[in-house]
Amino acid sequence: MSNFVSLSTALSALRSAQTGIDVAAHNISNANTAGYTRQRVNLTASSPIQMQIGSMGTGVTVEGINRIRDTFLDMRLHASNSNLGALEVKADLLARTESLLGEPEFGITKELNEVWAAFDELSLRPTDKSVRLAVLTALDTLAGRTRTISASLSALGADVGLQLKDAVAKANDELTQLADLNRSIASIQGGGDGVPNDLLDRRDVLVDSLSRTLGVTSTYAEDGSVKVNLSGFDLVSGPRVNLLALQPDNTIQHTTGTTLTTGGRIRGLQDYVAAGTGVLAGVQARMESFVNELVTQINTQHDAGIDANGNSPLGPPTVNVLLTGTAATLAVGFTDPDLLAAAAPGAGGLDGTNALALGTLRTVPIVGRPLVDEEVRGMITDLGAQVASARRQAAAEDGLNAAAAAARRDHSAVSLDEEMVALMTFQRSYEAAARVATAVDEALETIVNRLGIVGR
Amino acid sequence: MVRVTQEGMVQNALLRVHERISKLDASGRRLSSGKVVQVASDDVSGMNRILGLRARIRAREQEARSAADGQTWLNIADSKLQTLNSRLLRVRELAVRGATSLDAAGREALAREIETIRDDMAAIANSSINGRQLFAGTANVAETVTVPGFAYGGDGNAVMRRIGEGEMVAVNVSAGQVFGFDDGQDIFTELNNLATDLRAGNLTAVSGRLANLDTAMERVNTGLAAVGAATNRIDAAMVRNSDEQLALKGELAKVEDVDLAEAIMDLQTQEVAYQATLAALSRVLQPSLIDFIR
Repeated sequence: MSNFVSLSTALSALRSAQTGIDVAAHNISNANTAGYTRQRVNLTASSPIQMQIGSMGTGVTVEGINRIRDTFLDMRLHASNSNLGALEVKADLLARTESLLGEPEFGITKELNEVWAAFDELSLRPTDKSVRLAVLTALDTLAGRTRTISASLSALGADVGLQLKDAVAKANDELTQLADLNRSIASIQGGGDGVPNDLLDRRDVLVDSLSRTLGVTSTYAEDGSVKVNLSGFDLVSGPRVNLLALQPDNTIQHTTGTTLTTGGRIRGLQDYVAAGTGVLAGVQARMESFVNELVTQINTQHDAGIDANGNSPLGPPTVNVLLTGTAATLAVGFTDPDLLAAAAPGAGGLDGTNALALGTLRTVPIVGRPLVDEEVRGMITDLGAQVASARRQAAAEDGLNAAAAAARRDHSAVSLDEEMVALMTFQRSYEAAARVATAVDEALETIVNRLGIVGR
Repeated sequence: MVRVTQEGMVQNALLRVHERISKLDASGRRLSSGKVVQVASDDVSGMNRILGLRARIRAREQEARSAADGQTWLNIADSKLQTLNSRLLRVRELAVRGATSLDAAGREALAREIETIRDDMAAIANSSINGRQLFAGTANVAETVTVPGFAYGGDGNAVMRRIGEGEMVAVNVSAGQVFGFDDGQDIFTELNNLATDLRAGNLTAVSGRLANLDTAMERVNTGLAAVGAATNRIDAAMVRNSDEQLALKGELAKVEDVDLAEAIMDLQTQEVAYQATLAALSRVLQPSLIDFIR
């Protein structure tokens, strides 16, 4: 048996203690790094030498440096991220939409109330020019407010469209980075050079981000590369990436041309601006419905009257429509207050019956049609209910997400106290190993320098 | 055993602080705006009621104005018709006196007085309100009864005012009805004929005209009754209106406005809770093993 065995045993102890201290130092310096997984040095006893007296240990080997990570916790968090991303975006956009309506102080209902009151005021003094002008002004204010809200809604839609473009571009960028990382990881890990922990951390940060933005699912291969999948299609497989293609109708297509069902924030954005079925389209449809009722009913009643010149708004000599346009273009059809038809046909020139009838539209609509007030109120309360519901759902999912994130953190994050203890342990073991080396060295010195010197 | 890490503690602490400060912010916003319901999503059914209440309050305000305007019409009409009645009474007196034998000069004096009264009545018929004829219905004429000529230029249309939800009342009386034009027996022609009869000394004719004068007074009384009835309706409506406005505004305040005392207490509670969270946060994050190892 060679005496140098214990020396190499001590050396292996020194090396492993050094590695332990290095790993603890790495953990400590990355305690605040986002997405960092704590690492542990993996020590095993070295292969023993078989001797006559039994097996003799030969020290410690560093098997490797492990990442403490649970992929199950990762998958749980990714699923929650996807849901939360979509719900957060939905709640936020709905709240912004609701604030655009500006009810009850700065919205449509206030101006509509003034219009009804203005018609009644007209019935008091049908030939008073300033009262007639006041009616046109009230209608103009209502029209202006409606146009502004309609324009703001369209602008919000355009803004969300841009956000969607940005999000898809960013997701594509991350997918590309992931593919590159896959290549690097596979070449290191697959090549048997150990596990590239920090590259794996970077890979996982990208997958986390994609799960929140896009709602992807991922599977990990033996060589450390990740396969990223969205509704059955592979976006990243090994070093290959299939980028997302955003279509003009805001759907996202795979390279094979099929439309993908997304999740995450992108899904929330898509759901908002989807043509026809999207949230924004729904609100805009309600606005159009209200404007349609307003224009149709007021015009119908107005056409039944006689203006200050004794003419019908249906002509001759000219056709004078009181309200024109859709939500985006609502306007008063004329500026001459004399063209307001306040009188009923067949009555005298000072009659205000048609003005009263216009005011009555507030409580009694044109036959077969809904109340204009109800159209507006329904739109506002339905949107309010949607916002409240989205907020509640987002809050609930937020709680679940926080719990999933906490579970992963508890498993994989650095505890400074633990690292301190590890540091102390390895420091002591380094000192002890150094002592062992010293002891063996002294023993060897005796053998080398003093053995066989008898009587010199 | 659950493993607790620095990052975990910090994240948890941040979550708590965020929750607390959100509540503090919401409480502050409620207090500073004075409104419990700021957007529909705060309270959907509350917002529905608020919008309905606001619409009805505005409508009641407008109806109060219409009712007040109607009252003016009716008050003026009432006083004019009372005057008309007293003038008719005077004519009747003169006619009675004229039916007895009087000399030509006496009858001439009567005739002249009757003509003066006829002109007074024409002035009454041409009463105006806000630059518009009171008794001409909806006709856009400068005079209800032309002077001279005593031709009727008005129409019998009603002038309506909305005094309550679904409640409309006519606030005018037409000259056609009150002065007898509708029956083809207007008071001006009647008075002219009376004066002619007096001057001609046709005493039988004069006595015969007394019945017509009575009919004329009946017409005025009918007009007065209608004015009285409309006035009662408007008075009642105005009382209802002001009561309803009070009730609606009270209800609106209940749904919409913040209870100041409650809101202030809530804000203070949130402040204290926030400070407690911050204090706990600072105590929990500080100590670690590093402080104890040399």
